[in-house]
Amino acid sequence: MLEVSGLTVRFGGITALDHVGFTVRPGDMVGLIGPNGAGKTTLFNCLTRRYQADEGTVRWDGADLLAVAPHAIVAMGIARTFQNLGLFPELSVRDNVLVGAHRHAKAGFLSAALRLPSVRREEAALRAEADALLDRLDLAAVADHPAAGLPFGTLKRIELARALAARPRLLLLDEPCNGLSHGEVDEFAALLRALREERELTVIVVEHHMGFVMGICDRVVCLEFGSKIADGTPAEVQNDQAVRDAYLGAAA
Amino acid sequence: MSDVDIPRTARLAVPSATALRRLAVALVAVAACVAPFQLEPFRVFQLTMVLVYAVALLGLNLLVGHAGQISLGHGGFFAIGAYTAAVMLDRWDTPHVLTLPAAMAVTFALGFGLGVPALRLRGLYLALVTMTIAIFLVPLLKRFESVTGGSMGLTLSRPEPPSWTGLAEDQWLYFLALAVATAAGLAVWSLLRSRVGRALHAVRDNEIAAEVMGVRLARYKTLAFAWSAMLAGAAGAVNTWVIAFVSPDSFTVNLSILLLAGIVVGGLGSTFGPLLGGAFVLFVPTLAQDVNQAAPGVVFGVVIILIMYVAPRGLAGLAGRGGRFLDQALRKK
Repeated sequence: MLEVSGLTVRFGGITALDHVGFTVRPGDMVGLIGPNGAGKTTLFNCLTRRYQADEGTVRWDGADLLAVAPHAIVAMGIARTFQNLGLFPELSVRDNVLVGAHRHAKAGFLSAALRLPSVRREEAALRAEADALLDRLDLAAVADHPAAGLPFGTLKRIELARALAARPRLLLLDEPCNGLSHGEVDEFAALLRALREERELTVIVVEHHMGFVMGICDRVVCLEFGSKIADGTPAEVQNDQAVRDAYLGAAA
Repeated sequence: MSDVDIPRTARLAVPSATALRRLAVALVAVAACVAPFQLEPFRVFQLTMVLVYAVALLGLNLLVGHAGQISLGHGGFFAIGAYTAAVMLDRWDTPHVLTLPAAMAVTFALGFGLGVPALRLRGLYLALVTMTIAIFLVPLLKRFESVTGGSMGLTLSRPEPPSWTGLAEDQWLYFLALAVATAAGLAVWSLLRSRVGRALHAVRDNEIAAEVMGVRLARYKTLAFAWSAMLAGAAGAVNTWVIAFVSPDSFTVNLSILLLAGIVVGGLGSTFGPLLGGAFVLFVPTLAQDVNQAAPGVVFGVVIILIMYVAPRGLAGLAGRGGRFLDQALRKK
């Protein structure tokens, strides 16, 4: 269970997040919406410890997430994707996914350089797991291709595969549908729904594609100028006057 | 998918790219073992030095090509390895073989220590700071004359070939260098094809994403620096065995720059770049001297420009392209 409360982030004179609070129950699929600049990605960056929160608390499974080092977030069972893709362009697709499994392996410099039997066993297990994941996400055909130069929709799936390789319990997706065609969005929604069942994921998804958000999420949180303006079921949020004003502008 | 319609039998006749690659490696290995018996001693010495530089470049390649950092101080680590071995031989008559791990330990520790400030720096700033290692070292070596022999340097003994081998001294030295280079090459090769290598590549390509996936940036960067320095130190120790002489003026800033040029020309991030770069470091400066005694630097510069123009990914990239061309040509028939 994720509990965010009173979360505040300031950049100089700008308050990017202003006492934002919400909770996510295990198994939830929560949509995080709001106009550009509302603070959605800033919130993700706080959860993954890229940004320092000025005030507030984030508790995950009872632990204080804001006290965890950035590299240790994934060990807490939290993985994310990036708005503008955070892939490793020169690595093969398989290696990108294998980096996702980094925390599930132990090989260090010396044991890897000596190719100790334990390292070989570990590597074989990691590869088998990565290949299964690549199969599941229809990426087996491009497994040995460098990530650079593949179509955008494929890159998005690779990033998802990499995040899943960390075996997360909480998955943070930052605009997964950005740049996808209509058909691709529907496919992605179906895939995400299935993966959530298979892997017992809790998901928070930042997305502008309202059809996707309203269709797939159990709950929707709406931010505007760093503040939470709505929090409820998709239907409730859709009918919320503050949300409508945020997106369409209030009548003069 | 253009080769789908080629009948299966026709495809089987053409060796696969991996098979070609393995064949090439096997040929190189055989040539490496036969060469010292076919060449005159001076050529054997030159090949030995190519291997020595290749070991240093393996380290530099790990750091620059794979971990995405830069060092203009590897000549310094090379020198420290060389002097560690030299002082041990000079003072305590240590057996040659023991000077290698000692040189590696010393340069590893120094590399680790220098890797810590390097965490805060990148690009040109890091280049500048690492260059100071190389700059400081020469006067420092001259200063502590009682240990280092000062400007005069130290003259040492070479490892003697055991009589059962029946090898001449130059051949024995060659095989020692070959053994060290092979071991270092295999270690780096294994390292890069593991979780550690992927983490280094991830840090090079996208630090933020690497950290999100649980890669401890500081740890991998400092250890990459330490391992890289350690390989340069190993090369330095073998250099001492081969040359049997060290002096501060063999290890000026020029050496660091030459090494960096060597790995860029050889092929950053490639498997055989260090070997090709080693050949470049050894042969091209002498070649430049032969072509024009008045301005070897100009010839040297022109050669670098030409190679980078023809092969922007280094000689190894050129070889790779040649290999693929050959592969395709074979497949067409």
